[in-house]
Amino acid sequence: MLLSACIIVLLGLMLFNSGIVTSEKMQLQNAADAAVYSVSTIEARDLNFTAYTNRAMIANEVAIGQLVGLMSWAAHFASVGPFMNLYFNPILSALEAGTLGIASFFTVPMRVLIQVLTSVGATIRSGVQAITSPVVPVVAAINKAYSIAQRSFHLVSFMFSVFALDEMLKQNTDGAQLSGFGLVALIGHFVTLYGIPPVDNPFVTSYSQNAVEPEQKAGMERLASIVNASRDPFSMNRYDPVSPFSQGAAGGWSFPLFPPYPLPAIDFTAQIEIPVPSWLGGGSCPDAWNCLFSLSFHFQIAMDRNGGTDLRYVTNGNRQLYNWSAADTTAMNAHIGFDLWVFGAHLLDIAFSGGPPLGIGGAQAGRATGAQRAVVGGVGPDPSMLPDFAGGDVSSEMYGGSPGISSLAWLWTGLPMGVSQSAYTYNIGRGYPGLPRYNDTKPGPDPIDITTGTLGFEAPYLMIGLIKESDNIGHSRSKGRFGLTSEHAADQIGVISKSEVYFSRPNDLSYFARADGKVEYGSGFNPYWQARLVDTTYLDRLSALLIQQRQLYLPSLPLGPVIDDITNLMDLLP
Amino acid sequence: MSGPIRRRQCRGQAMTEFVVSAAFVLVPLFILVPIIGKYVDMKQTAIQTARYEAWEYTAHYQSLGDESSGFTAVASSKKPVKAVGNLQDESRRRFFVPTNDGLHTGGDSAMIGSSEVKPLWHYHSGLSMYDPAAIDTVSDLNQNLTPDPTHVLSSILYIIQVVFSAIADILSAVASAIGATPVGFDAINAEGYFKSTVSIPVRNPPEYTAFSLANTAPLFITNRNVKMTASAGVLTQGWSTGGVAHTQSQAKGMVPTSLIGMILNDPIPLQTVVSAVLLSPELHPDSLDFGHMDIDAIDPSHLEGGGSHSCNDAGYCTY
Repeated sequence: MLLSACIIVLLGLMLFNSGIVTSEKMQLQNAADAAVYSVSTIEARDLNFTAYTNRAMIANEVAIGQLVGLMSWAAHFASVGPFMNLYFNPILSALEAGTLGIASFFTVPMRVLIQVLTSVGATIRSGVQAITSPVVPVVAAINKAYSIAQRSFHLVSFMFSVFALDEMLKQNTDGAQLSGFGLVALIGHFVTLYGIPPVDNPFVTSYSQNAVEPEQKAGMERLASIVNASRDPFSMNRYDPVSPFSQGAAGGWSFPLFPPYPLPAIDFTAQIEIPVPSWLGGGSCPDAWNCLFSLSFHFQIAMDRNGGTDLRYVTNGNRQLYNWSAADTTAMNAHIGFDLWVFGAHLLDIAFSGGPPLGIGGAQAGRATGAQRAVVGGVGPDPSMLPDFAGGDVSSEMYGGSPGISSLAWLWTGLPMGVSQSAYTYNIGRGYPGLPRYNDTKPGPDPIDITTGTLGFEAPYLMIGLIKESDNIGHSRSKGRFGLTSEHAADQIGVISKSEVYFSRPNDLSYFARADGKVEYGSGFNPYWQARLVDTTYLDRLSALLIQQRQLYLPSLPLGPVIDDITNLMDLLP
Repeated sequence: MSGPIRRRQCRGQAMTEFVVSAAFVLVPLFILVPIIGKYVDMKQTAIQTARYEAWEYTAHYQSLGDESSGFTAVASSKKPVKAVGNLQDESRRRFFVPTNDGLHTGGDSAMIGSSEVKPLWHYHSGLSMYDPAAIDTVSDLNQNLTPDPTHVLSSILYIIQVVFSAIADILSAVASAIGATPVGFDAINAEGYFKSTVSIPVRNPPEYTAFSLANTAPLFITNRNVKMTASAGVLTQGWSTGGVAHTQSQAKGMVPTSLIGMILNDPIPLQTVVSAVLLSPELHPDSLDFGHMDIDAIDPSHLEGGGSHSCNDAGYCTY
């Protein structure tokens, strides 16, 4: 009976002790889970705040582009009167010098029209300049504030993470402490998140247009390309959404002068085709050998209007400094096409489009003085605002395709002023500092896909190890023959936990999905970052067992002393 | 004394000793061991409950006030909201009622009554080891500010939140006045730290009482006042968005020029009038869109299929 009583007592004590240990372990695991999840939540907040502010900064940059575009449009509108005066004044003067009294019925209204257009245009131009000039620095300052807020919050997040970690340990259990293994993993996480040397490819990088490193320049170019893609239709290519003369997605409009609207353009096609069966190689005009000849002719005179506002960088020394510039052109173009095929051979292909400009405007926002000077255009022709076919930098797809459609307008250098001089003259952002500094996650393809070649705790993953000393764990006070030797490995219980901050933009929910249906990976431009706990890997658990719990015995291998040394070093850590 | 006489005189001694020791040692031990196990179970249930309550807010809002404004894609009635009281009722039903009662969430998580106790948690006498209704009186669940012992960081965060909220209020007021879609950045939430403490008051076990029928008070300890307590906490609310329109609504709250478009186009469609008068259709609001934002614009390297941007000699970068 005594034996039975002893066994029952021992069973009771064992149940009591194991109950306490399992409860402590549950609470310790809860603390570890809460700690890593909370830190990842703070990092998700950081990345989402970065995304919100990046989107806002992009929209504000587009707003600056809109103001530059409006200034360019106003300068263009103001030039219409002077251009009409330039072309019509000799005619009107000749008519007025004549003896036909009937001329005054035409010349007087024309001169009034030109005068009104000139006056109204000049007034609008002055008004737009007066309104837009003060707004540009304000919007640029707001962007700078967002940029500072974004980077400050990124740094403050580190402090929040430390505080949250500490608080979660206290709230979820008593006496828990970060193990040496956990501390190393935590440091590794923050080093890879913030890019502390020697890490050169951190999870979050800050990009600045003042930096000269290629990676920094590439980062700013990425931002510039996103800004250009985010422009509204007006800034993109002066899109005409309402008139019947709209050129659609190509931007601008084209008003037929001859044949006058609504008559169609002159299109003439003549061809003679010798009937030859297809099994003998016969075909259809114009490119078949049995096509005796095919002649096509197209002719139209139209008033073509287009323009655009572009964000570009200006190279200044080793730096790429960003600048908003705009161009608006209207030209009375003759569109002539002539196509000749003989026996399937293309002998002539003449396509001409050009004519005198009827309106030219340009504007910009670029720092005008100092080491960060970044302006385009000039008093005279300047390569930065001349088309590439004239030896300049501007390619045909820039400024809404204007150089490709209104060629002569871009080469204009007289009075009224041409594109280059107009852009140089109407600089409404002489102190515009360029694109703001911004944060982004590491470049693609998928910043959170670091499944290979990693140690398991690099950002965006976060792993910690917690321990609780055996002395801090309650147990029975039984001694002697009832004493239970409930030793824990390394005199402590330990846990590890792992989390990650991840990006998810589901395509199966209409209000989340991208318009193009593509799968989007994480970046600092969309706030779809969240936190979650993740499975520990075999390597994670093995590392924890080895270093935290010191449970890998390799006495016969030289690795053993090394591990001992590592664990001794860990003990020196707080 | 001879052996047989002695054996006769000792007859029944072993049985007497057994009865006495069984009554005061073996039976109490047999009773004690299951009680220890049940206490352990109660403690671990308290731990699980505390964790459940705190972590439930990683997937739910305490109220719709915690959600940033502008998310209209899902009806309010379908949004994941659990008020503190409802969640506590739910957790009690999950952890403190008979296990064959099933799991309860949402609407069927009515408060549990004193009679709904887990069958396992009874003393040998049939007495319930706890009063389910008493758990709420000593437990706590609440939302707190993001941990910051210095109070400096959270204060700054709170000020930023207030400033942006004020701007959002202005924008929303203008938008409401002209019937436009409200915008405003209020995604920053300085709170989100949920703390739960669950405490299960344990009833005293039945024990030896006086032999007198008139006095049934315990002989040894009158009130042990045992509680199985556990705490948990976790930081929630990562400020993530609820879709394209929600992102635009939030981010536009930081774009002051979006106000221009609102003012210019309502109640008088001034932009449309100007574009018609000046024969400039490009000034129409469908083209010149103040506060324009394209949420899908992103570097192609961050899209399935990849890609890259390119810049020409003029410094014009596109993708």
